[in-house]
Amino acid sequence: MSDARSLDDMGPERLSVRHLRAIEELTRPDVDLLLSTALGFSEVNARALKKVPTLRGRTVALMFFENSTRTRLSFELAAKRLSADTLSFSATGSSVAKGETLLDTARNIEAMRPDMVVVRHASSGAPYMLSRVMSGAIINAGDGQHEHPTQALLDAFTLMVRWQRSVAEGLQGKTIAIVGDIGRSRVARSNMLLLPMLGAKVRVAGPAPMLPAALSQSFPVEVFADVDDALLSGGGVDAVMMLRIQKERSQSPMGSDADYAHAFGLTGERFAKLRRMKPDAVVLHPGPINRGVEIASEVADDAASLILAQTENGIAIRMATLYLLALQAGHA
Amino acid sequence: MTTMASELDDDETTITAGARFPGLVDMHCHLRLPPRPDEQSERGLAAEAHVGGFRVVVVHITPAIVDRISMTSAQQALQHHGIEGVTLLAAVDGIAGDELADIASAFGAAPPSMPRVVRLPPHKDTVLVRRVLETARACDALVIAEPLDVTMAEGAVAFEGPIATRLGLAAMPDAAESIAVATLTELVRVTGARVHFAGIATGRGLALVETALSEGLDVSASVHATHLLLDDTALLAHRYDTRLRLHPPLPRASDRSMLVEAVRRGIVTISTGHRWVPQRERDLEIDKATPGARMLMATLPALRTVFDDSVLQEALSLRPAALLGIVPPAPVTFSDVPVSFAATEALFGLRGRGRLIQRIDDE
Repeated sequence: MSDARSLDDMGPERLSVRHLRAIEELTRPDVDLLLSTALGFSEVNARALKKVPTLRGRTVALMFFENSTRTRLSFELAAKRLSADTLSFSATGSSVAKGETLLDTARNIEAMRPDMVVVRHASSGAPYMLSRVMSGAIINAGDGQHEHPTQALLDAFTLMVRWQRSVAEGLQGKTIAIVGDIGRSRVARSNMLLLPMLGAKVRVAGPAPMLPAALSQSFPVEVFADVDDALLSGGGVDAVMMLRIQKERSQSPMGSDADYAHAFGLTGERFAKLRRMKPDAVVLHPGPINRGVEIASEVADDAASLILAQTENGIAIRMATLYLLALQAGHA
Repeated sequence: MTTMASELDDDETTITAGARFPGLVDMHCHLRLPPRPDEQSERGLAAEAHVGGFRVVVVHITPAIVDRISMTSAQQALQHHGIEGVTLLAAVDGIAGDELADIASAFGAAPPSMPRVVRLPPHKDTVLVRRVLETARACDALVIAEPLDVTMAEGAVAFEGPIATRLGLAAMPDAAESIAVATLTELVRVTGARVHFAGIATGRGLALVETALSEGLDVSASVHATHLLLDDTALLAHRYDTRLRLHPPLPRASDRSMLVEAVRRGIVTISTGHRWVPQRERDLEIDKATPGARMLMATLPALRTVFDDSVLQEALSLRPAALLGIVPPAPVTFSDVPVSFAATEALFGLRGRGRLIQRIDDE
């Protein structure tokens, strides 16, 4: 991937939005700016000294009302590498567990005057609610079944780095399959908007109860009932993004994990078929992965797997997000 | 002449033009008795009904009226705190928890002249629903049912469709309504009960009602005013705004067109679906917020942007009165009636923006 913006180059270009609540609120120039800025920060992350003073004196509140490992650590590290102070909040063990409402929690965090607020919440639209009552920039780290915009940005970024695409080229000419619980996935929703915006064709596949009937009316995607058709038809896809079954939100639509793996999982055999058609095909997964269910261990650990690269690139994307939103607010 | 000022607003809404309407009749609004401190009181509800031109209002009360004692208590409260000129009718609940309510006993505590109305909220036990209809028929009562399949409708913020999918909202299929309409229609056939479907929201549900009517079954239906004014595109325009959390959810645009046309054709009447939602129950995530809109004052002026007065007179007064078996309330002359309500103002315009003053002459 080229078009990196070094820190010295980072000029007056601004996002068109005050918050990062959803991919659908971003323009293509916004996305290009985020990706090129992230590339600059990925160079920072490769240095021995990984810290820059860009957001010194600024405060980033991390409000996680749902469990998170990668996203939370990634945002925290991103903020720290930009020299921001972090204010960390999790629902467990907080006043939320004692019955405090989201709005009251937000008002109390607001009283501590954070410049930016990263929020993850089980309800779709929670970042919109916060943006009405908090003065800082709101960054959606996953809201219900709605969106997870920074995950989609890091997914696209990872693919563009792997395929050595420039920001201008985007993902033009590539076909990407998203497989799993599409209906409940905020990662899928953000990717179904972002990947086509960058020029990719997107296919989605999953068990029928996990594919809303209106999917192709809502997003520019092609819907497949059969995962093999989704992966292999038309000469095969260039990338496969596997999603986990969200057992915490609903029952599995299949009889067992083994049944699901057989019907929809990315088994070694299934991936080998794709590799025969597309030798450079790659695999993504937003994590956490369920080995042997939606993805076989041999695939997750294969050189074609970009899972750990996604985690690494997530830091650069989140640094870019924090930086650009701070710039927008006049804080950077 | 009575000069009314809402006790709840400080609106300076400009009101122009005049109109003369039969007193309006609402078959479906909600009230908690006794109200909590930040909830609408029975007097507040009656005042808003008066301002909105409603003279008879069927009130679905929480907690449920299930026997003579609860009916007596509700009647006393409604009469004691009511407003002259507005009759608030308490609906008896058909089902108390998972048991048949003591419907006959509850009616025994009401004045003999009072129309008998049984409320039937969504319920999963079809056998029990059948018993409610049989009992209502024996009491010569009208059943006002909310036709929704409980399991399919639970937690829904929208109807399934492109907008709900795009926004990641919990959604119910149209079948949540059509299954309930079909089931109740079949039970009407079996029991001979009179059933009014309140809050029809889909074209499919509407079609089933029309079929039942064409077969001569004793059914009727109403659409909530909100569902004639707004559709789910408002959810896109006002993202995750809890004021758009309604029960049933807002219809899709194509369904709203069918509902509007059905009112024009005289297939369905209009109810307000009025439910005061305290701010603390609004200031929540959209999937946790209490559904409801404050519509008693806004219904007539807002709907005048959609329908001719002759249609509204039928749908908001004459036909609901006939369904309840009452004489239409005496005409009301509005000295001033808003004629240019933007659709969303019906939901957004009447709160915290000043003082709504409306002069009404009772004849």
